[in-house]
Amino acid sequence: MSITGTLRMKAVCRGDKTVVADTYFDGAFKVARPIYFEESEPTVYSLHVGGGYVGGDRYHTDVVLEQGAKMTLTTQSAAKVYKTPNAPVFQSMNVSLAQGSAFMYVPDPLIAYERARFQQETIIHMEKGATLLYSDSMTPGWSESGRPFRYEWIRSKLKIYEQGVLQAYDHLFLKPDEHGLFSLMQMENYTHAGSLFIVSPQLGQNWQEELGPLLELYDNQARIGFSELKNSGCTIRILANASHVIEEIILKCTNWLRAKLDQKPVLLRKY
Amino acid sequence: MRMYMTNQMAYTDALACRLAYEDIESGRFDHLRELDHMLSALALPKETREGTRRIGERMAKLCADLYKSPFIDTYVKQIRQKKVNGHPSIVFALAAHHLQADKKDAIAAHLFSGVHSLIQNAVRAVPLGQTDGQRILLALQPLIQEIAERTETMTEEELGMNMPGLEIAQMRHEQLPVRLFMS
Repeated sequence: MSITGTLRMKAVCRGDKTVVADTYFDGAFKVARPIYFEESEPTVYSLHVGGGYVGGDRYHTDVVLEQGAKMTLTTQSAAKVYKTPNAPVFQSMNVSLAQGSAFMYVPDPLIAYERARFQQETIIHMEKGATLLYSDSMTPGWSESGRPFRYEWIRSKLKIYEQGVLQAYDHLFLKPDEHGLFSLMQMENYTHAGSLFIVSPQLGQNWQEELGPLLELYDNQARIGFSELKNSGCTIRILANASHVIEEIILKCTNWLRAKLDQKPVLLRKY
Repeated sequence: MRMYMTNQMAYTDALACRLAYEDIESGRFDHLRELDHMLSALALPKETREGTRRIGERMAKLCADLYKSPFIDTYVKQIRQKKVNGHPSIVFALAAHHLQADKKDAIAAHLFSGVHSLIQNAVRAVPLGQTDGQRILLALQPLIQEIAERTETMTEEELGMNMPGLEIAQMRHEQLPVRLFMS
C-alpha cells in the first residue's frame, strides 16, 4: 500500500552542537529548516501540506538520535482527521535513541472530526542513559450536530523499549457511543485527553514530590494522574475540556524536565 | 461494574486468559512469556501493576501447591528468576488447562472470580449487604457469559485497551494517605 506521507530524520552530534544530518520527506509530510532556539539544540517543525488526514491515508515517521544528540520535534499545526468512510487513517512512528541523547516530542493536538477513524502506533527503542519526553493529546472536532465526540474511534499505541526490554505499553482506545465516553472510568465528562511519558536518568528519585505541586495548580481545570513506570520513568494522564489546558500542562512539564537537563525553557506554540 | 467488565476486564483479563490458554495448548511458551511482559507494561499505574504482580505470584505458588503441573512449576520458577512478572490471568489459564477445563469456561470462570472479588471488596468497604452483593453477582452472570463468548472474536491487537478515567483514579489512589485494597 502506498504511503501518503513519509518523514525520516537523523540527529547527530558535531562537537557541542546537534545537527540534523539526514532529512528525507515525501508526499504530504514536510519539515521546515531546523530552528536553533538554543545554540546547540535544533527544534524541528513538521507540517502536513494537504491540510488534513482523510480515509485510507498512511503516514510514517522515522527518527534517529545518535549518541549525545538533542532534538525537539513538534508540528506546525494540529493534525486534523476528517471522516474516513472507507478505511481508517494509520500513522506510525519509530524512534531510536542512543545513549546520552535527548528527544522531546511535543506535537499539536490531534483533532478528530465527525466519523473519523484514526490509528497510530509509536515504537521507541532507547538505550540506557537516553532521555525521552513523549506527549500526545486528542481532541474532538466540531461536528454539524454541535455535539462533541462524533468521531468513530481513535486507537493509540505507544511502546517504549529500554535496552530491548518493553517497559511501557500505552494502549488508548476512545470510541464514543450514546453515553460511553462521558461516563465514569472513560472520559468522566471531559472531552480532551492528554498523555505524557518521560524516561530520563536526570528525572531523579523524588520527581513525584516535585511534580505533585506543579500539577495541583490545574486541579480545577483538569483531572490528572501520574505514576512511575517499570523503569522508574514517569507517566502522566490528563483529562480536560480544552486543548490549551493540556498544552499548558505538557509545556510546564517539558520545561520542568528541561531545567533538570540544563536546557533553557521552550515556548513552541505558534499562534 | 458493567462498564468495568465490558472494557477493562474484557480486553485485559478475559483476552489475556484466552491468549495464554491458546499458548499453553500449542506449546508456544516464548509467546506466553511475551504476553506476561506485555501485561505488565500495559499497567501504567505502579500500584495496579505491583498489586497484580503480587496476586499473580501468590496465585502461581498456590496453584503449584495444589496441582502437579510442570507448566505451573515452570511459571513459578520463571517468576523467581525474574524472567516473568506473574499475572493472574496467565496463572488462571495454566490451572484451567491443567484441569482440562474448556477454554470458554476458563475465561468465564476467570471473569467470575474477578467480579466476585470486586463485589466482596464493596461489601466490606461500602454499605452494601451480603445479600445485595450476591444479587449483583447473580445479575452480572449473563454479562460474564456474553464477554466470555465475545472474547473469541477479539484480536491480540486489542489487548489491554485502557480507560483513561480509571487509570487516573488508579494513579491518584497511590497518593492517598489511606488505602483499603491494592486490588
